[in-house]
Amino acid sequence: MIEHKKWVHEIILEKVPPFSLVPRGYNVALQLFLMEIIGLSVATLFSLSIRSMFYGSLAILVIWIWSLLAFYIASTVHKLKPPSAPSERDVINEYQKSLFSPRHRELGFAFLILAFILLYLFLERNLVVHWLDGNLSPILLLLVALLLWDISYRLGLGLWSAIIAFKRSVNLSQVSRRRSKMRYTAYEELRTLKRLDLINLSFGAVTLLFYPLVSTNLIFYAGLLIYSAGISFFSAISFITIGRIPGFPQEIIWLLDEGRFGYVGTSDTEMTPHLTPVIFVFDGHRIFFVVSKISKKLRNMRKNEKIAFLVDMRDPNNLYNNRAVLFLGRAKVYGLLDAALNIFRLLKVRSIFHEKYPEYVYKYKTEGKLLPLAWRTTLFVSRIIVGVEVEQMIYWREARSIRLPLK
Amino acid sequence: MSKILTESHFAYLCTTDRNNQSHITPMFFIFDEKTKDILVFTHSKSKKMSNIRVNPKVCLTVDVRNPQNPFENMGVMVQGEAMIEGPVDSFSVIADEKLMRIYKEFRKKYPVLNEEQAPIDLKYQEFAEALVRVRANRMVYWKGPHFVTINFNLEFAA
Repeated sequence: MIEHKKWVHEIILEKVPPFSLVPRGYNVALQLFLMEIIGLSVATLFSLSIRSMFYGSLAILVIWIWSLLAFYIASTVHKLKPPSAPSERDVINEYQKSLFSPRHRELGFAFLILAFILLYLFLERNLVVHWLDGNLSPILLLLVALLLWDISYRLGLGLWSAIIAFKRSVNLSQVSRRRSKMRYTAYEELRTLKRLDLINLSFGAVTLLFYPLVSTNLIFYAGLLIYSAGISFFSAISFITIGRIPGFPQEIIWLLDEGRFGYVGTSDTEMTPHLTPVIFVFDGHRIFFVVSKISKKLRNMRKNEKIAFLVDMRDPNNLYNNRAVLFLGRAKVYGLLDAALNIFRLLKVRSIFHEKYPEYVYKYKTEGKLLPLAWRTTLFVSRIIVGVEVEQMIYWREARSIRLPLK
Repeated sequence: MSKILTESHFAYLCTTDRNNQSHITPMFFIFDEKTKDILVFTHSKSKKMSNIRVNPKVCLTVDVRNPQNPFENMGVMVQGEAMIEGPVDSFSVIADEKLMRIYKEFRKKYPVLNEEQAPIDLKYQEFAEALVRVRANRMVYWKGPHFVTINFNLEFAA
């Protein structure tokens, strides 16, 4: 793996004592603690009001939350696994490189923001007077400037991270649209990228905590809102873009959309295989099928979650013209709790089932009452939804097999 | 039940590897009505063959699909043991009368493979290098929600 550069903040916390002496994860807490101690003692020394102490503590708290988020982003991006398709690997590589640019370009934003804030405060001194209760001693001003730098640095970091993530998502999406039929592999880290976007989004949201400090000043208040909205915008677009990247090759998506029957292969602890046809749907990312609660399949899957799932298309005119895709992976059985946690996803799955098998739905509706309880379609009473977590794909076209690595 | 097994063209063979991970392949097959065995041809180096060598227990499903009515779906699931009946090539087919009979029956069922009336060796080696015989221990037949299970071991015991 390529070693990427790090952010200045990371370097300080990892290399400079006393932060470098405490275990990772505690160094950010230590930083907050030290800042708060210094802040409170200086405040007591200059006998500042409770309100000023509250302002200072709030600023430190926000800085601390930002630091945690930034650390999470940094460590996640450092650990991102590269996709196997070359063009997609380039996009992720570039993302990592520009996020941790060797020339520390994230500092550029920070200086810009700091310059703006300082200039404005120099012109409009009321705000500082308001924060410090009129006590404008140089030490206090220095402390405020220090806090302002900390704030600007993180504001810059957040903006940089959101913009770079946005660029990455757009590039990745473009590259994925250019994929030819089979020549690409699914990228398993898409979910991680989406999580990073959510972190960026919360980075922007945390900014709103500054509201009490700037509520009296229209310019700062507007700046705060614009900054927060900007980050939210970039992160949300990035999140949506990533969600639209197809998870499988186009030909396989076609097979999954058109195929009416899937075959589930399970195996019990005695290694006795079991294979039955099921109806299934594909929601764009995952395959779902429904099994009866008393079925052998379900008992097998509960003991051994490793399953095989095959979808094929038969051509009645030409036996050789047969396409099939085999997925090897794990079964995720959606119990009541899992279903509650994934309620929107499963509702969507249900509606795809209704769209894909209207005849079946109709038949079960009209004749289902005649069935024994175990074969009715009432969810959780007689039927359980199972998702397939794909680990390996094998595709056959005209009796030739194509193996598609997922990692 | 025999009707499904003789008239369907595709069987799905499920095997497991040493980690108990299942593997499925669609296959051409013929049903031997006398012995109630199912015969499939496969490449001797395929994944299913290596799986069968590790664990001879297999499951083979043949079904008739009805996309309109779920209660009309029919199928047979056969759980049993797979026996590898040696390598098959043009020489052994000509030499062995039993193999020849199976081979001819196979050609009769899948005439597409027979199109050019090619000499046995060339065409044959293309799709088959080993004959696998699946001996059923248990058969499950279903039509819609109705199931019938036939347990061969019990029959033998009785």
